[in-house]
Amino acid sequence: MLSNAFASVMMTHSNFRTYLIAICVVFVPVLIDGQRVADQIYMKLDSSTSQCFRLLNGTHQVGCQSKENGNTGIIYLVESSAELDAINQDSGNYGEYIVAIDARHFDEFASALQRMPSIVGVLLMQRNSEPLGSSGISEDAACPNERTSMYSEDAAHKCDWNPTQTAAGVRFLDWTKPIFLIDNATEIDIIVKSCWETFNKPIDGMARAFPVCAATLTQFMTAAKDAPTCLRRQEMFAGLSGDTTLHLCDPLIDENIIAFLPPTNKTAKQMFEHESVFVLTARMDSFSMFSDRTPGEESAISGVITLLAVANAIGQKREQFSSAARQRKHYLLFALLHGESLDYIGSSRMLYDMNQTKFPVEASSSVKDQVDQLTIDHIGFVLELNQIGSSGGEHFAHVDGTVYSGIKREKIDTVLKDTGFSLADDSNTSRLPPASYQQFLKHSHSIPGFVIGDFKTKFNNKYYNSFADSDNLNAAAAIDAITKVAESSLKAVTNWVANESTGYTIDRDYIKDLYDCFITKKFWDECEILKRATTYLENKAIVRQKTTYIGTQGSMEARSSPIKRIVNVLMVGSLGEKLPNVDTKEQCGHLSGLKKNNMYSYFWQLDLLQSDNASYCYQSTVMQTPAQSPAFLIEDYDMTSGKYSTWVESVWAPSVGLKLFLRPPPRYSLWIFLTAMVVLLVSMAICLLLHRISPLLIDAHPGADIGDPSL
Amino acid sequence: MDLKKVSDDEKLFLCKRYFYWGLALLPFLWLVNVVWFFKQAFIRPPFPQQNLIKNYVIYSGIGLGLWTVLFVTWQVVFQTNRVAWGASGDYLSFVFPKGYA
Repeated sequence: MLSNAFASVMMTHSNFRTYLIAICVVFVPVLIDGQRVADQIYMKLDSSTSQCFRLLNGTHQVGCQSKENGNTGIIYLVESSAELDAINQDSGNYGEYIVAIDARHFDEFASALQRMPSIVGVLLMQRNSEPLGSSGISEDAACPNERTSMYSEDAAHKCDWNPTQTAAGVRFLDWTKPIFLIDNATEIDIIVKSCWETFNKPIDGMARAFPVCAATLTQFMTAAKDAPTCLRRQEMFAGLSGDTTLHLCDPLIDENIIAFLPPTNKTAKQMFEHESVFVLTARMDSFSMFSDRTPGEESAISGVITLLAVANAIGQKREQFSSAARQRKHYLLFALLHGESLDYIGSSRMLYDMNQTKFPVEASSSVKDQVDQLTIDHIGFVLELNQIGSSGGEHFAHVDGTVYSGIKREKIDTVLKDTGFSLADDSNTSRLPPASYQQFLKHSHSIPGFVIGDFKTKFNNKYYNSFADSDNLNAAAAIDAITKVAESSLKAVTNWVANESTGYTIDRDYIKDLYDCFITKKFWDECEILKRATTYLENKAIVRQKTTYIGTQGSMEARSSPIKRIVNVLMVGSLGEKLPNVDTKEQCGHLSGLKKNNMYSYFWQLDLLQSDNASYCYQSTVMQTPAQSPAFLIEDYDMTSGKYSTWVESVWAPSVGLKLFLRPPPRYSLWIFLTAMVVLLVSMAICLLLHRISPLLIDAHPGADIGDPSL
Repeated sequence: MDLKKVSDDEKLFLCKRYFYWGLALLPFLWLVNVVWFFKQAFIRPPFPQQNLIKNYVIYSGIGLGLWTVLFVTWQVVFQTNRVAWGASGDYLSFVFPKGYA
């Protein structure tokens, strides 16, 4: 009887078609709702996240790393050490945690977060509307650039310029877990309210039962261990891994912006003489563990604006200054250095090139009018502009005690009197803060000079080299400070080089405009001056982002550091002269290609201080020199020696992301497995049964029913 | 090759050949010797060539044991020390892990 029943259900040729159509009609509505199952499970948060990435140097790896498929953990909001204790106890048996923490508390708990193995990821939440509080957060060490400092041999004296709660520097810890920075208020609300409060927050001290809200953070770095290892592997294993090149890490590289005034000319016998050059220098760069979060406003930009203002003032009276300087056979060198915050990349390379007589360019037999090479004994004074803008108003000059108590004391005092600043410490144990001037002294311990900063014994800047170094300055006070320092520096410079200080004035409006452009505005091309400055720059999408980080793309102009490219245009605008008979960009470019002289560079740009659309070919002495650590040039350099910067940046895998989901009780996995086993066994039974009765289903005489319309 | 169809002299010849060739740093030949001729050497009731076959199987077994110790030791040493050896570890490697030391 069973077999008869099955026989009646047997499908003939035409019935089969009907059934097929019926099935499709039933299931089509379901198929058209094409949302992937994955999208129904995970909620992706990716509108404004920034990820912590890995840097490697000669001996260590620092920064973050996640597993290739991401680190998964239960979200836990930490506001005090009580929550960290709760995580340690793990009373809810959650296993691994992803800590959500407000940026205000990050510095305080950074070491604990890094140490605890049950915490596999960190979500740093920064609400833009709230200030970060009085504690501040700096990602740099308490003694920045300690390895390459000139005092690294002298362990006795404590070096604690930077007020930070994590002595080693949050950026320089080896986290081995991903850290994501979120500053979108909507996403922060999702994490705190929809995820944490709804599912995870303990009620009455009791851990919540499953389902709980979990997250997966994916940010995989390919380089590991240290810079020599990843560079060696890149070379050794290329070819074996399938591609001809293997890309694991890149050295940090970009360019310094320098300008000599007046220029030297070997053919005209205008050359450097002993101690004839005054170096005015500032640093352009900052860093952070988060990609694209390096505003560096007080750390770097404050000094840059000051130097640009001085350059502008001198540029207004360029001819007068140049001829006065030539009479005295003195020269001024503006030096805007890159990579200084990461073990003095720019300055160490500049001094290395000086020692090889390749600074600013190598001597060439084919160029007619060429510059003289600068060597270290030509340098007569170094004035460095460190952090300038913190409210408080007072500025100090920092000297090295050994230099100041030596024979150069008088030279320092003369310049000091011109600036009107007082010394932070005039004893013979006085130490310099982290500054490029240290690198000059490392090469020649008798160059007089000092560093101007708005601090005496500890930085005023609580956000030194961090993602939060923005929106912390009081605009009016900062502009006043910058103007005051610029005026003092201008007087010192013009007196030393040209023996005159009247007739040069700092344009306060220029400082106001630059401050507005670089610091107040959200992007670097929202104000007039920078909009005009970036007109002819390629790849404007990158240039407008507020990044002062040196980065790895220095060799490709269109992708090199935004701050450097903008500063280049501004310096050319201040120090250059418009060439009258060059009317097109191509003609201007042609002039640089001719190489009849290497004293001048030629740039096509708008007049930054006008509002018309006319462009000019500017001839100026502004040049770009390499800011790449000598560690990557010297053959067989011992990367562990700590003499030069060895920083490289890891390449990271393209799939980066943060997604939230609900994690069911662990028992669910067991139930699903058992259900699957049951379904499997039942299917096998059905198949066996069908196999047994198959003679009834399949016609033993094929062809008997085909084409028979009655069935 | 089916040992059932091979004469005892031939078996001895094979066992001997595998042993001697195994001395050319080919421990897998010794492994084959031990596995293949074990039944012949120890389980089968005595036959004229069995003593010699037994000897060769034992020598192969000893050699195999030494090689196993050698391989296992080297594996343990390499796996635990590869990272610490730095450059030398990389020169000895064919593949390396991405993202980890």
